[in-house]
Amino acid sequence: MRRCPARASAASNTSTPLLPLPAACTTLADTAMPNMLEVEKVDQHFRCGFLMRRTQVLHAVELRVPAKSIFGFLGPNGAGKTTLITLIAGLRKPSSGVIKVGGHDATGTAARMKTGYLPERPYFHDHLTGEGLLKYVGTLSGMSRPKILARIPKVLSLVGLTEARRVELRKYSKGMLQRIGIAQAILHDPEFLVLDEPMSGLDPLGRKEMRELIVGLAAGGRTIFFSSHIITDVEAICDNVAVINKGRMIGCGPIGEFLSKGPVKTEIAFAGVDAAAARGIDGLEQVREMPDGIRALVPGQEAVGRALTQLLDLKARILWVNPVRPSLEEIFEQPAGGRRAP
Amino acid sequence: MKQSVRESAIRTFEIVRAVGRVTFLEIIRDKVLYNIAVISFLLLGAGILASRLAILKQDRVILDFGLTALTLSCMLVAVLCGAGMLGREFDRRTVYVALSRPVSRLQFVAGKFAGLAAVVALNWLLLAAAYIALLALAAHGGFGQLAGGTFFCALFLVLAQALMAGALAVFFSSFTTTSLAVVFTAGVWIIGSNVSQLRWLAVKTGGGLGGALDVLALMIPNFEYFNLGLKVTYGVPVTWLYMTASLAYAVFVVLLAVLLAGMLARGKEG
Repeated sequence: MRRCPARASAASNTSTPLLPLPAACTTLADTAMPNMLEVEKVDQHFRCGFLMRRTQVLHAVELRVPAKSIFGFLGPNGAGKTTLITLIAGLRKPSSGVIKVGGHDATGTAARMKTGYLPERPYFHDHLTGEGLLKYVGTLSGMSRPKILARIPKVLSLVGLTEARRVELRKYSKGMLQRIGIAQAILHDPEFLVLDEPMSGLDPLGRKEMRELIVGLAAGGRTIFFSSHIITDVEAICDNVAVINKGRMIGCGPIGEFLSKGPVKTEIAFAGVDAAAARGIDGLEQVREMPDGIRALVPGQEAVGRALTQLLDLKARILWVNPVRPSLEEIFEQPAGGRRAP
Repeated sequence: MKQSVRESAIRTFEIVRAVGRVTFLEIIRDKVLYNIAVISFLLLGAGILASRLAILKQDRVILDFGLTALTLSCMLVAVLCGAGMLGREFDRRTVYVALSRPVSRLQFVAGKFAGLAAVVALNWLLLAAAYIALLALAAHGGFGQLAGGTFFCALFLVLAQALMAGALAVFFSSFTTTSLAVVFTAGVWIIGSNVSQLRWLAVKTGGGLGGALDVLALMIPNFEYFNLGLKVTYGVPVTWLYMTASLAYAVFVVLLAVLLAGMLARGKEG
């Protein structure tokens, strides 16, 4: 009955920190700001399989999220993100350790009144309309009927679903489901929003709309904690991130510091030079012919200037120069502190 | 203190009603429900055909067929819909939306059961109305003679035992799979409908096995209280005390099963 977390179960004890972990993973320099979320030495294990063997999924996780911040929670699939998020949302108690939201135990009523939660791949009763779902969750949140009725048009307008309020959820697109998910999470006007992979499965336009929505919600003074395994999503809206891998916090700090740890590459696109000549240019790698010209990668910042000078000498027309963001997996593969992550 | 208890009770009622309403609408859309309803109406109709084959007591055949159809229909709805209810919520993760709010698992399970109970009651009401109409049209000896006080008591007891079975299905679904919950509930119903035979077997067997059978007969919900059998056929009166005791027993079993389901659901993934 109980699902065993597939990849986090393989947690090893040898994850290498990417950035030095402070005693508690607080990320904003402004420590005067009270913490909205405090996670202290949280372990989580499940019993699974026929023999009910104990599998540890989270290992002494520590985290502090200051109020009124947008906090990104990064980790590859199976790292333990959703497990920690279900604990933060108060869906279950941790095996050991303490989680507090706004100073209250995460599983208590006071914390849950402060929290709005969007599950990963949100599933709702699809026979309900958007409006019906909001009435349902409003009642569960302890709101009075007049308050629910007054609040529904506001949140539907905020997420851009006013027109679709009477459409059954089964007819909603993926992006609409994510947006109604946000709507149900903010209906009771919580101070703290926990969004589990809010951009999962969305197309580029949907991702952009979701990013704008999250930034708009944060502008209203909410604390937002959202998880993702895609760096660009986090980079676009968060100043600070925590990174988890194999159930352990391996880094915490400004997103820029994480990206600088990864391999730095730059893509140069140009035209007016044939591929053979381009391959002869020092520093250009992975030269590819495209219909509109040639693209190539340059490893390291210092090689970019040299490659561009040579291209200009050959009378090349430069189309664009873009830094290539490393993937999360590439960051994890980098050596840290002189050691390579296993 | 009194105010706080009252507020808490109102809040629980609101949650149970909200979850129950969503559950009711969810089950009403389930095709299984309509299949069961069609089969039940066919069984009611089959009673008329079977009565044509009988030489004597044709009205009694219609009466027995109808009561059996009503019982089977209500039990099938309660067990098949109840057994999958909690598992589906957890598997599809629709439960997250509810449990991330200030809602306890017991309140949630009680709401789910309330929705199931409403569907069972609606199914019972429609079939009972159809059954009564059929009796009124087809009974040769007059409807009044056939459907006395005992008949109506039997109808209420059918509903009570279906609600009991539904609560047991929800209880089993709180810790096992849908198919096993159906099997367990059906097993409990079959054994619980034959508790007196179980006791007789315990006496006949004796020894350790007899003792074990006695304990089983004591522990298992007794569905025999809800089967009036030949009393309906021959219109033997049923006392108010019997009815009250049977209904109180059903309420006790339902409350116990829902309470245990709420406690066991705490351990479920979610």
